[in-house]
Amino acid sequence: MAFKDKLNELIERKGGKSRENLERIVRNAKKIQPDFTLAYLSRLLMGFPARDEDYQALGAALGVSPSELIDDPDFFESENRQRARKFASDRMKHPELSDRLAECIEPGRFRKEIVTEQELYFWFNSILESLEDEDAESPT
Amino acid sequence: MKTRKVLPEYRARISREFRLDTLQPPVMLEELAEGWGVRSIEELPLSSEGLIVPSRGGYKIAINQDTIPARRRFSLAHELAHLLLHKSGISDLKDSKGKRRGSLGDDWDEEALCDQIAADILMPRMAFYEDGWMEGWSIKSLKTLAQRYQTSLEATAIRMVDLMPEESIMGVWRLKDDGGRNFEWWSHRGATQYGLPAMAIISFRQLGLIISAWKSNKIEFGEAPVKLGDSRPVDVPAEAMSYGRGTNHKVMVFYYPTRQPTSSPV
Repeated sequence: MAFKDKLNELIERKGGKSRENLERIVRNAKKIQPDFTLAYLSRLLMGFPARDEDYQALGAALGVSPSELIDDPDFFESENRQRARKFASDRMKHPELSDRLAECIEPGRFRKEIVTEQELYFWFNSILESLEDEDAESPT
Repeated sequence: MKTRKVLPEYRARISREFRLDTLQPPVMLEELAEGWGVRSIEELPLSSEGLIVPSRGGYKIAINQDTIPARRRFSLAHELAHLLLHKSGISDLKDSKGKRRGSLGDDWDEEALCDQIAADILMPRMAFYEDGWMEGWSIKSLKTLAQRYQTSLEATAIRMVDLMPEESIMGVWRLKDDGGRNFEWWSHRGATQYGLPAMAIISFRQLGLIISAWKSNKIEFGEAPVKLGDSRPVDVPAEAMSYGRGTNHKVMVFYYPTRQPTSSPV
């Protein structure tokens, strides 16, 4: 499960998402991480990637071990590969290149983040160019 | 958390280096792009507004096809702004992962800077300034200027308050999606210290101009509240017009904080 989902689930279990409860969590998290704000917590709940120090602050604020919040290591890899396949087939209309684009998501590269469309476009373009080069080099 | 900054000297440097001030409306973006090394511009069903990548010594740009023409033009100009920052050595376009990376680190906001440079490309300062004087620095000129520069009303309004010789703020108001009668707003201010007060401290009476414009299809004149720092809101002369349909129905307001109130429209 991703960090965002774990955080949402834990907050539901520990008093829910009322403004009062979220403010209480922020007050407690601030004791460990002084720059923690309600707006920042909202961003984390929506999927903004957490910093390493956030796990400890949120763990303390929610009364759980920080390890309970750490992402499933495989989650982002499979999610990103899926995004790459979808980008090649749905957005770029080249389904035949979807596996090749998915291979650009190297194991361990995206531990806590979702690959951006910008990165996918960059890789996709590199694949197209290398295919063009292969075509140009192949004997006719 | 850091607040990221836009460095005004970079905006000025790009404008100078690429002579953006001397462009003429409507700016032919595709021609400019070609001259700056863009090999292709694609319109694709993206989830982002636009993308740019280096390609064989030049650049490739992709723009989201599912937006209105004025928005697509702005997105293209925004991507060209990234290109200009790259060409002038201010920012690396991409690192090896294909991510944007500002050479000055993470505490400056390249995206906001590119929005400003996009405005400089689409609405060149000298031509726009001249047209502002000819048409009049008023909300009445907004549609004419937007048509001439092929830009959205909101982008044109931001440019107007930035270049207007008088202190001004533009605000965009729309009804909240909660089904009630509550408005939400965002604003942009030119060279003024005044800002818009929070909705919670605006009285129903002070919403009068916005409500009149909301129901009307002509420009409404009156007064609307602004505030300076922590002081109480004060009513100042303002002009308002509604635009858009359905969920995009909004009211644009120009506020003039230092103008003397007058009983008749200017």
